[in-house]
Amino acid sequence: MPVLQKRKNFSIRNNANVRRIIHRDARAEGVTYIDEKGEEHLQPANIVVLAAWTPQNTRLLLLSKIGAPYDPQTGKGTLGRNLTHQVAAASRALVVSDKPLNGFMVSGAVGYSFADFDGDRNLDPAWRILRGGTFNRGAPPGSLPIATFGRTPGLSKRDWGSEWKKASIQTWDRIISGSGFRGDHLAYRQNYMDLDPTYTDKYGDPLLRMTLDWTEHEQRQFEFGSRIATEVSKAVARVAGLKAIEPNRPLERRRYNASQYNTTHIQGGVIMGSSSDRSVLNPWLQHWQVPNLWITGSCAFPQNSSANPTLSIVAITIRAADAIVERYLKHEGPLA
Amino acid sequence: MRIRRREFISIPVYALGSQLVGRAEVPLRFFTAAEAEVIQAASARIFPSDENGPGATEAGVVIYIDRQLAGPYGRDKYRYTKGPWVESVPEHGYQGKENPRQIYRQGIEKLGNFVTLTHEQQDERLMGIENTMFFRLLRTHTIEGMFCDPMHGGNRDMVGWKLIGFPGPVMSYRDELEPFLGKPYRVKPKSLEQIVGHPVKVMEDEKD
Repeated sequence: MPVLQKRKNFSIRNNANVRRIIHRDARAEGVTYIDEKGEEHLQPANIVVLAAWTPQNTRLLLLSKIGAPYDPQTGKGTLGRNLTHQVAAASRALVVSDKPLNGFMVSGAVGYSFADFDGDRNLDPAWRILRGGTFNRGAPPGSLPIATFGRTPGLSKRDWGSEWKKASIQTWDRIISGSGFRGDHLAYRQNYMDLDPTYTDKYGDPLLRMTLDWTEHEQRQFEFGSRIATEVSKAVARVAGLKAIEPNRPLERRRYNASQYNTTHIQGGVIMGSSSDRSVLNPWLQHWQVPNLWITGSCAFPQNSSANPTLSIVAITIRAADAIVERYLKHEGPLA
Repeated sequence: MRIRRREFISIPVYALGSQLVGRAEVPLRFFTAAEAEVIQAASARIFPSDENGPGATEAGVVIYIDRQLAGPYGRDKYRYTKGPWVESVPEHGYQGKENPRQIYRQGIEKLGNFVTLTHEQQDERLMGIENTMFFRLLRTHTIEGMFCDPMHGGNRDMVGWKLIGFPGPVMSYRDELEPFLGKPYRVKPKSLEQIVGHPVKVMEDEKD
């Protein structure tokens, strides 16, 4: 932004909310937005680039009635389909160090990651899963007291009071964070986004509705991810001469939980593809029906890979920007 | 907010070496004095002051909670609160109509004559409400008030950070990382204001 701001032909509107993409005869003419004073404006445009993150990209296209909304009953329509998230699991074993770890010194660069089970690599058929995932431990913020105080494995009956306080002071900065698991999430017919029939935003526009739940395949991925991550924790404990505490109870089946943080990697809805009847965008992130409308972000990914998507998002965005400048501006029209 | 005379909560003040030197009268923004005393007493049972060090009373947890409830968090500025209100599955998270202020007021009412009870009786009363939204919030906020940056009203004199050995929001540990490998790094903590060298605006002071 500081680089762009030096340009005379660049301006930025902070605290503005785009409500609609205005279009006529397969051409985007601009956007309407509400500024910070609550006034609505029309911003004309030759090219519109939508870069508002997966849910809002999808919602703005639905609100602007650009493209055919996906219908999970018939499988027809492309806008909103292939909604995916990441399949996250973690080690179930807790390893408590015998001395303080100075965990607050941790930074991103101290993390690790291994891809031995990524995609379909090294997948034992006994797991009965199609895709595995990445195992990693980043923990960039380190041992932040509010987030990490109060874990007292087997040391106190309640999670408050004197006994809990004593145990928590002992264990804080001694719990060795277990490995995490990020699994591929495949797209399913029944997982999609549409406009909510009931709830609206402050302007009266429908909110986006996400319909998403874990299938038997993801339940097995949770089992797989937890098991391997737990083995890593136990190996760490063995090497360090410590004890790994592992719960006896089986892993609970999970439903998709919108109330807990599960990475920000919500993807799909405005997917790229090789034909206009199965995808919203062509391989250049150009809208199949509206060639001067470009949409960036992981909403374009038809499937959700275990790796975090930022680098891939940047790559396809640079590719799209390059296509706009080098090809589209020279000859306006569909690039595929 | 209704207009009322200014009310205060009394917080113990300690000098170096945990010598009680007096009490500070801190003006309240949301609670009445009577409500603040109930919250002070209840948070002190969650995080007691005992032989293992100071607790919620010394940290001023009640002041932290009072400021949060008076600010945008207390009135649910950041939660979607347009109806219709429907019962939902736990996976959708808290769907109740009550904002944190209302949850606290209702919870305080249920605690009744809490401040007149013995510690044992107080614990028993809290065990009876352990699974309520009010208690879960109070427990979370007590931990926050113990370990927040002091600019938010809790963690007074950084008692919470000193208790566990957290050095504060230090920007980098490049020079300490290796020398302290396997050794506890325990220094006098620094608050964000001490580190950046100027006052910092806090979210809970925002008017709207």
